[in-house]
Amino acid sequence: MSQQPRSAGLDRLTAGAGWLAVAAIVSAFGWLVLDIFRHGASEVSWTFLTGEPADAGRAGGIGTILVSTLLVLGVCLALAVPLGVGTAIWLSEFARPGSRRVAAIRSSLDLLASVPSIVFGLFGMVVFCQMLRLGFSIAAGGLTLGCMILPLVVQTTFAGLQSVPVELRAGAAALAISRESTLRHLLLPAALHGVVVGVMLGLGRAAAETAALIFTSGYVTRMPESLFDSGRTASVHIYDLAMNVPRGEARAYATAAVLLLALLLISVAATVLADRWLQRQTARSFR
Amino acid sequence: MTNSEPSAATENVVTIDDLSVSYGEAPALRDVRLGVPRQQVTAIVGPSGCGKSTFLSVLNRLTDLVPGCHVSGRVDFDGIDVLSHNCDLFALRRRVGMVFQKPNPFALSIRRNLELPLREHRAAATEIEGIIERSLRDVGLWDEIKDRLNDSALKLSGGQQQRLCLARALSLNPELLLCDEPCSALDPLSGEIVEDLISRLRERITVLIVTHNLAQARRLADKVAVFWQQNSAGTVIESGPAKQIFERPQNDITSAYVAGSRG
Repeated sequence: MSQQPRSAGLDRLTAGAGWLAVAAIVSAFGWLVLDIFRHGASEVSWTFLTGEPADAGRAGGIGTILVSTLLVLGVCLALAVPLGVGTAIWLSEFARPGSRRVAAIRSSLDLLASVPSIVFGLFGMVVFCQMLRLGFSIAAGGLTLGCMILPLVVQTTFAGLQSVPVELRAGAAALAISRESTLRHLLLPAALHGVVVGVMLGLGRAAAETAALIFTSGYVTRMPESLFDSGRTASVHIYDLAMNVPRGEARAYATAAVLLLALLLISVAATVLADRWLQRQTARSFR
Repeated sequence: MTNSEPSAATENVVTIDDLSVSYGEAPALRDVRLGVPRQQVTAIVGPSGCGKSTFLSVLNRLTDLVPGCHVSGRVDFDGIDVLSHNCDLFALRRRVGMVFQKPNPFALSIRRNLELPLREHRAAATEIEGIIERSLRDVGLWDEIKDRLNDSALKLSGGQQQRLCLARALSLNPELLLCDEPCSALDPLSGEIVEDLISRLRERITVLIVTHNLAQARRLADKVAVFWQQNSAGTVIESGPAKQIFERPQNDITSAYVAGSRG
């Protein structure tokens, strides 16, 4: 008899604690975003978005910084997405589960995911800047970030492929649909959301990176002329303004606001595009 | 009408000899022997866990998908050595269709569900439309869904999904259809529709159906094979014409099972 009310109380307590945790997370995030926009929004203008930094970033804009950021992220994704999705497809669909090779690859990916970014920076400096003679360049920085987010892309794509119900694979096999067609028409569309989530998380991590880039793509603020030019990304710019430039905080906030907004837009766009593609893919006839 | 004794002249389209299957160390089937007569419905009955589904998946080599699954013995399907390494799985699976317990339409449009396997099997583009319509008419779905062929197949009801899966299997013109408890996940009304469709198929093709439902086996089957677990692996304890299994079973376990006092 006394059990009933006690367990109901426990339920309420658990639910309350859950709500409290959610509220704490949401308000921390909200406070962060509000703080950034409150301090930074007034500085953002068309000339800020297009101009070149002047007076160590206290004046001018961040146009060249945005171009460098986009180029670094582009190189990063060009390496990480094909390699990561390919690896995940091989691990999930072609490798023999439980084999030693698979175990070795999976544990090295786990290890790679836990390596601090500064170590990736040193690795990138030695391998891309020096051994491959890319110097301090956008290419070297992008490739370094690509290596850094590779485990994330592999793991989310792998999880997406593995979540496809086994009945679907059996059904396709029973109809003698080839592995390639099954992958292309049935598995990859089903895993697409996993891929998009992985790429967005990776993009976020790459866009936030400073330590790995200082060693590899440098911090020159001028407009890059090619991928082999040095360039400064937005997060390096924020770090520099906040730490090394007296009275640079306002511009640091403004850059952070732009970066946050850009990531949000990219994330929404990627989700919408993936959904649309999926809908077309689902409904379309082959003809 | 359905329980007609198969004539002595009926030849077997599938002959299974000494079939044993194990998953790793665990045996699933041992020394299974069975003949499946052409253009009849053969029902596989028996309690859960005696290897009925495993038995079906040997016949179209879906066992290949299960890591660690080992199959030995002989399975002859119309002259094809099914268990041979040289067996052309593509050709085998075109001739041996399968319907699963849980409807498993692809997350594609209704039309594409049918189109994908047809294209895979190189049906001429000009014929595909006709085959789709014929297959859907076969399962009585055409009038229900002809106006929404481009809608997702997942929007259909469970019974409609199962009929779509049946149509998908039939679109490839199989000679043998494997059905793994095709009605057990459906509501009684949809189950009845699917059962009727399967019953009518015997005019054209051979059907091998696993069922838990003895009443269904009684209604559908020309031949019945009773699977039972013996020494921790499933095997056929008795098989024969449906009438004989239900009315004059030879085996004590069979007679207890069909009487409802065992299993």
